[in-house]
Amino acid sequence: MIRGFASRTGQMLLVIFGISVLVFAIFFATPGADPTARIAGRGASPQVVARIRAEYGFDRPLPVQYLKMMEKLFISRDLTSFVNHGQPVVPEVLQAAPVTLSLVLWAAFFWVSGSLVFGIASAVLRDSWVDRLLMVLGLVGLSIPVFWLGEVVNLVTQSRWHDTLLFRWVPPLGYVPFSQSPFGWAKALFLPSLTLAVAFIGLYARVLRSELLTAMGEDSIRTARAKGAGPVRVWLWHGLRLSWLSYVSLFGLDFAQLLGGGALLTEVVFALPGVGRLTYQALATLDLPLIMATVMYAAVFVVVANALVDGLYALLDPRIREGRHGG
Amino acid sequence: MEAEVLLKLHHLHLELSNGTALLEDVSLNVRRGDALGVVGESGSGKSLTAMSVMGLLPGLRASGSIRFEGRELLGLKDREWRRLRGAGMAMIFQDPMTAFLPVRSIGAQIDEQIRLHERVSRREARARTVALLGRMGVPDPEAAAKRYPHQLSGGLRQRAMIAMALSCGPALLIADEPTTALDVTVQAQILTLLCEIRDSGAGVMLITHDMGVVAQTCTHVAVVYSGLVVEQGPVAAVMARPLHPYTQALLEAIPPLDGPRPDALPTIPGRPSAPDARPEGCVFAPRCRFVRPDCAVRPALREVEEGRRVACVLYDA
Amino acid sequence: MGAGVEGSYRRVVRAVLTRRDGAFAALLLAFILAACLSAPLYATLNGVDPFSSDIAGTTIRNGQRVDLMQPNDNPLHLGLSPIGPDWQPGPYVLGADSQGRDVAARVLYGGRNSLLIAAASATLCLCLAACLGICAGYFGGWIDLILSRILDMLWAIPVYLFAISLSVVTVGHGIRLGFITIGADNLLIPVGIIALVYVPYAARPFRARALSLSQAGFVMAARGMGASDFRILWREILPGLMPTMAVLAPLVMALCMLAESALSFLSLGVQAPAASWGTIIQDGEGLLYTRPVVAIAPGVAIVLTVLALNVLGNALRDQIDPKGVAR
Repeated sequence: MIRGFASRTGQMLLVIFGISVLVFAIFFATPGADPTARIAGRGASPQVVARIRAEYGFDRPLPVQYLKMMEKLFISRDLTSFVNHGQPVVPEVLQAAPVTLSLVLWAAFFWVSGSLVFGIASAVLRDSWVDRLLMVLGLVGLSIPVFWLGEVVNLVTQSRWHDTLLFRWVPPLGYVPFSQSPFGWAKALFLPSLTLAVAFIGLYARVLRSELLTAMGEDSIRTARAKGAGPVRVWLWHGLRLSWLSYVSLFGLDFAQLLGGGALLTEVVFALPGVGRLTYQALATLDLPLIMATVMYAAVFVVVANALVDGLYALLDPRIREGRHGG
Repeated sequence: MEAEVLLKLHHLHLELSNGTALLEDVSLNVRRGDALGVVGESGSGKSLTAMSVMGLLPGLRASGSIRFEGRELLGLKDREWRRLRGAGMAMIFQDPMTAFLPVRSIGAQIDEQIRLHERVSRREARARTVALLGRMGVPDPEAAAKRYPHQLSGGLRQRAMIAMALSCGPALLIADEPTTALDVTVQAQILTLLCEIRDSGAGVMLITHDMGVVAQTCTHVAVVYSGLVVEQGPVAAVMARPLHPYTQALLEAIPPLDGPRPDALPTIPGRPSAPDARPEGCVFAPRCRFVRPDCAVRPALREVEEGRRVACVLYDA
Repeated sequence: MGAGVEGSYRRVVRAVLTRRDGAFAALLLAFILAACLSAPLYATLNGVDPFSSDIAGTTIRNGQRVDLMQPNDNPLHLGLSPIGPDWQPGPYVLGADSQGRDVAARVLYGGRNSLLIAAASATLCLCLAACLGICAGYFGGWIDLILSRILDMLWAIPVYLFAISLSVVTVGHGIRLGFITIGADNLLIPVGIIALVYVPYAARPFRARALSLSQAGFVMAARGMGASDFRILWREILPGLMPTMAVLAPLVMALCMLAESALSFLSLGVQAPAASWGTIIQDGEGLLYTRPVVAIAPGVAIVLTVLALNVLGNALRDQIDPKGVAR
């Protein structure tokens, strides 16, 4: 058990190391322009350029540059944004994180409850018109670009029908911290998170439906019915129990990816000052340190989340707990 | 001494929604304390018969009659049938590995069945589970109840399965190929267990393709071929003197336990006809060595001796 | 085997086209493709230039010559706003954008870029993924270990963040690799980036398939007869991967199209003056409340195309791979 945990952690650290090398390479070792000029941003003075070159060691070999950068990111955490008047990057990211976390938590709530309802409904009513309609809707949801959907939602709720009874409550775009007003927080996040959740509801409902239908063909489901269990119990207790493994692992990955910056487009469209929007603003000024910081944090976050999902998986399935698959 | 008839299938007919008949005409009886072996090749409809008694065949149309303790089951509301399933009658499946839910402990699954049918606390249910497992010969039942299906051996799993089936004291136990997935030594133990259950007064319906298993465990036998019962009677009599040509062929296909081994076991030429291409007349006629012109009319299952019934023109008076 | 595979392809195509959903998707795709290909026809017939701004221009509405930029009809908004749609065949059927360019013509021309980039990047992505998958699955051992780990790492970076990182370092400068220079406005850049970010997604099913094929009886037999690895890969494994390829192609193309629109929306994809559906949505963002059609029209085009691709992919999967190796 302890050995397994240690080797897991070791693997995780190795992956994090690999990713950091990769991200570093993307930003500072791609063939093309001088990284100094990129960090300095557009139209920086020669003095600034010279200072950056010295500070990051861009005149030294790549491994040294890599180590310097990692030290600035994770140890001294004093990586600064040159475009933005020398503001330290790491605190900025940490400040934006609660916004993203709130958005993604709400979205996860919607997409889990939505996909459970739709997935179970269409599995139970398989091949009926309800099933077909839900599955087509799911595909449509999967096919909508989230930023465009966000704009349409804004158009409807902020402008066209804002004065109707249905949308009068919609607050102006932006974020309200939970500590300031819990109700305002929920109101501000309701539509953005629902928009973000649409594609996931479609995907997860489809996955859940097919997993459930596979599970319902298992012998153990027949046993459950032979025991005298009713349909609700058979579907929800036995069927779901068998089929939610892949659902849970999929959920863990997507949740982590969204927290790590996958919600960027939604945050931009709804003007939510989260990590994604921070990245977006950095894009406009080509603020490389900031972008690299968010990408690096996102990747580390996803790797850690993956490890957690693996652990959760083992909790849910006793067969995996002992390192035995299937059977 | 005539024991009470527990289960009576009368002209049970089962068809797909497109009209293909899976079971043509199945009639059989199980009395308390009896063990009826239902024998047939795969695809003959023996498992379907068991499933239709349990009411586990949604989407299929059944006609005829299934009487359990004098009560007609066909047309029963799902709710009432559910109350019967697991309590009045219980079922054991072929492969206990897949029949248990892999992600919950054995004990939890047995507790569930008890609590589905009786208002007992979790603790009482668990106590009963442990007692049952112990009675089924599971060593250290308390620890075994906490284990997951994959952590037990095949034999223990099947014992747990039987414990679960017996947990609510069913009057009828249906076992669908309960030993096929097990080692030979374990098979014998499980069969002995089934015999004990029968002796304790429950009715047992044992579905199998193995005449040897029937000979060891059962008091009566019904031979099913292509959705029809072709022969029925007490095991000893049928084994000693099989009447139907199909039963004869089945028994010949068992290797003798002693004496010189034959060079080749006799086989039955051909294969059973598919449900949608069943002959008009006797279903076994295409493979029968005694086939005659009057086999073109399907013979009814009729009593030819005390307690023995057969569906073959050879025994028409 | 060749003839059999040919024959089975024809059978699959026929089976997909006779399904109601498959036929619908194919027709819709053909219609969109035809419309985009005939973009020059619309432009020349109506005498509009979708790529140069024409703020002082005029057009004819109801027999009268009117300015493209009209005084704002909403008293709250000052200044000029472009002419709206009149839904009559002829120039400016969908109105003009903030530069006085014909929206319909831009959507048609933008569609060519969107479709081209999506198709090209899907092709590139699938080829790369197939190569990696074959190497990992067929050769196994340490090659598999290393490739799988690398793919895992790439997978840990949220797809859009990965694409953004790659774009942001290439967008202003292009790529200089020795003597090869790819300009910043070259479509190859978004194509390459989008293809790259979806390689981990597509490589898994290829790897699984190559792994199972390499253990199949006919491959063993070929190996036993002394066939070289190259010959086995070319004659036995590659044809065996084609069904996976066919199922993945529309699904990956749908993903690529969504990614392209997102990148273009963030000004990181197609660069002005060229257009794609994503850039048009971005152009329309500023006009969202006054002339929503500018943002809505390209979005609808994206949704329809992606939906058709997804439906087609699902129909193909049902026909080729009903058990769902490639999800």
